[in-house]
Amino acid sequence: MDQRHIRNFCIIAHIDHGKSTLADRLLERTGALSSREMMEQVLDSMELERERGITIKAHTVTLRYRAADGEEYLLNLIDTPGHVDFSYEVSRSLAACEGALLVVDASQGVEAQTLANAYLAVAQGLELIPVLNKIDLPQADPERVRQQIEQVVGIDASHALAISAKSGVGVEAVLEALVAHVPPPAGDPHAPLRALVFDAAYDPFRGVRCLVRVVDGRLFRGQAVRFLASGREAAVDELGVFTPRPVAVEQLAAGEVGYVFAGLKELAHVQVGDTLAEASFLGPALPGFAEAKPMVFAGLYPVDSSAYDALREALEKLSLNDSAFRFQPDTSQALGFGFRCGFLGLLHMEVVQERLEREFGLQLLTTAPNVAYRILTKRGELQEVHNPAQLPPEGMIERIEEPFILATILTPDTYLGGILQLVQERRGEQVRLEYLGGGRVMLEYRLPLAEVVLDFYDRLKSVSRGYASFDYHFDGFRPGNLVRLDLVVNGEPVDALAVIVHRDRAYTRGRALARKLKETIPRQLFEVVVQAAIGSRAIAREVIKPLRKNVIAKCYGGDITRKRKLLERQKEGKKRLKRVGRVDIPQEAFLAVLKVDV
Amino acid sequence: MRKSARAGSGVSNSAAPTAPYRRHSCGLYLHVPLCVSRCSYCAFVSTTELEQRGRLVSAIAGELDTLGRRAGRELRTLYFGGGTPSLLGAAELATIMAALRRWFVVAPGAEFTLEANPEDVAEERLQRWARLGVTRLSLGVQSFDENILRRLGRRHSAVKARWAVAAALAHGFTVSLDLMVGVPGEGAKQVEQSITEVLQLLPHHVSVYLLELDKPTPLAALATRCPDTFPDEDAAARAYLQVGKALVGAGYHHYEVSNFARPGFSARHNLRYWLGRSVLGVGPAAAGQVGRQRFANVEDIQLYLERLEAGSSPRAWARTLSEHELGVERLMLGLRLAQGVGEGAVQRLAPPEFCEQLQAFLALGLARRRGRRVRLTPRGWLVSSELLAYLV
Repeated sequence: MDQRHIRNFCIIAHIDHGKSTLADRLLERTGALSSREMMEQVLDSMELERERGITIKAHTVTLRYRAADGEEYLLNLIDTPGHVDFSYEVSRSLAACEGALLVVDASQGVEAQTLANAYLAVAQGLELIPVLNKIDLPQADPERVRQQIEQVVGIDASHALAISAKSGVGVEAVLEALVAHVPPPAGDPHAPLRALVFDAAYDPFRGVRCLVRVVDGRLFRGQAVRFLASGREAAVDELGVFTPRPVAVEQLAAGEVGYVFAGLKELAHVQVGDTLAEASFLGPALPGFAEAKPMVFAGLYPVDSSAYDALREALEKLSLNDSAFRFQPDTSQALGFGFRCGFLGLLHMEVVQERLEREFGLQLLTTAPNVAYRILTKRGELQEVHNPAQLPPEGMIERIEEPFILATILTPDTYLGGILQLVQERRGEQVRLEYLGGGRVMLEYRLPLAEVVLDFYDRLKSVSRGYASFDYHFDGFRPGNLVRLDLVVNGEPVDALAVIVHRDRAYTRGRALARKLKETIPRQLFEVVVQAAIGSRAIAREVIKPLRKNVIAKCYGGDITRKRKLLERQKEGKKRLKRVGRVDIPQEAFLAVLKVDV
Repeated sequence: MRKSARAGSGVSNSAAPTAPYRRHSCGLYLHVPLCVSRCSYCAFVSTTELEQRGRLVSAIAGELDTLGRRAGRELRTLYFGGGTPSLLGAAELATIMAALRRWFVVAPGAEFTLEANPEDVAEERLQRWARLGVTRLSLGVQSFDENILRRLGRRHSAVKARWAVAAALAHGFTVSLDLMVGVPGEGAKQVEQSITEVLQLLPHHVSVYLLELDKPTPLAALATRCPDTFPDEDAAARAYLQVGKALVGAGYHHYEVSNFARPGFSARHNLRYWLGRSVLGVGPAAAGQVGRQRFANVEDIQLYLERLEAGSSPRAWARTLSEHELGVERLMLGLRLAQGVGEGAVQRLAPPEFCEQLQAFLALGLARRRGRRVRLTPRGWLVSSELLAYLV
């Protein structure tokens, strides 16, 4: 189709503001699906995605729409992942579009996630069409939200559309606005092929399936192609579009969006953001490519050590479909054999954990997550450390750098005090604070990612009674005055309990951790000393007195059978303990570091 | 004590594979599930509906008849426990004894224990019990502190308890006295007092029970609600060791986790359980073991009555223990005894984790080795579940 009749767009919205409902409605209105075929939220196909109401993988759907001007248009809806952890993927999906629908719940107003993605879209030069959804709700206040959009996002919202995706009111106007306001693709159809890979997924039967936006030239079946960043060459086996059912086509021309199978067997061969070109192409790749780098790391251990092989197989399978997820075998003296895993962020970690437990039926013990640190040694070497236990001795370290984020928080002003205190505690640095009217405040803070990975989100929810929304993006590494805090139990440092903390906080955190361990470790037959230490210097000490009494006093006659059961229960309890040195440490202790709040 | 223990290890009838019913002697436990009121720490099967007593006595006699017809044999020990067997009247006891003697021979020199509450002890009753052949009275004294007695829901006073023990001794009974430690309201003073009183009375046998709260009793509920009322774990452990030390100093032998006896006065009936010898069980919830068979009656008193009145068996379950189970249980019970267990048996039967933990017990002085035997020390008994859990 003529490039001038193509519109590529995405939908930006906060969770529950109606993105999926609007997408369903657009599909219905353009006849892509009859309402009989309609399944709620067609686009979020993974079970977990539906349950959590989030999008993890990108999807596309091509809609044919005859507009009021009598012309037929191809509307390509690119459904982007909706969470900060996947902000790189989001940026690539946005790069495939010329416009975006900014959907805001007219009863709730702008939230942090909307903002972060809207800023990204504006930065990439997308045309934003504000859409006020849920106007049929009694508490809807479209005028206030319209002003909010102008003030916070900084775009003209005078032409904002007022709709109800649920009832279908105003959906026609959305389609017309897409045609009228989203610019058609600008690529050169006669130039050599350049296509942006904005998603890749693994199909167990067909191999890797890439989602692409053809920028210049055309992509056709049988074409010899090359991925410019990875250098891998391939031949196009099949290409097509989603309507939303996959429909094979002979070619995709400049401006068009679709899928490609090119005979690749491993997801690792394709990187999101790469450029697909003809094998002989010598020109430049499309801008904006970056390798997806895990920022958050945690150890995953099978609760039952015999499940190690099963865990490895599950991780392998999972990584087939998740190129950002990394894992490598790891041994902990405390937890035995397991894996050190890298994630894009906390949600990504939770999603992986949940898929492992749900889809693979594994019981996992996850250590406290930590971020990636960059270490400059005194000998001038640069290392990246993913596990606090691997931090070189203090004397060898010249400098430690930690990742920072730029966080956006939106909150009713009632909770501002509590939130300011929280971000202050977390070593936050204010970038912006703005009153939005209507009693809402927007905060921008620069924060160490390490201060966010533990329980920041939970704390934010609790100090704001759930009213604050939060989003962030990665903001580079910065040097920090950081030290490794070891927890030493009866003279043995417990590797799985080591944490890296800011020196100013080491003392309070060390004391809190030692206290927490004292509460968690049951009394043993002998005295147990728990210490928090920096290097060889102990900064906190707690003593767990020896156990004095655990006995069955009466054991007569028929009761013997019952008493035996009592002992069996005790034995079951002991199975959940991990022995470090001579001390039995319960699994909860390894999670306790997550819950210590200082 | 020494004598009975040696006799114990010499008898191996319980290991015999086939039912040794007719040829061998055994013990018999008879459960009398009647109480005037329920004590706050007690979870034993018992009822305070004393109007049931007529039916109960008949049912028990009936069970003795059916049991005896199949398994008449010589009884070496006889134990009437409860509940409160001491509240049975002369006629009721006579009915039970008649059924018993119809089918069983009580061996010469047999130990015949009756559990009695101090408030039930009276001259006339002592005479009656002696006439019936009772040789040993186990008196539920529990404490000599009025405040504690009240909290435990006991109906007697310290004065009454003192008199009951003295009177029983004067009538020539072997007397065992039950004490509880770790109970609410117990401090150093109360522990001292118990020790002084017991050593003044000098009964043949003393059972010292640490309070157990693993069953749903009013006291267990109190412990959840106001734990501060109770001495903490450390104080309870101290009290147990202190009482034990005083008793041993006065010539008692600490022969089982909770039991102390002057030489020759270990509880022979209870030793049967601990050494795996045959004991029959009669009455609601009573359990028994013959050879490798273990069995128990239904716990519900109404159901027990209905079953027997309908002429059917009151058995709730019966099962045959495997040779291994039996061996493991022997280790578990053996380690609760001062005589301990043979190291050979440990090596043969115990899993490696147990042996590892036993090494730790030995290293910490919680267990001791003598010759080819190993036993737990009193401090070791206090934490014995930490070891025994690895056996099961």
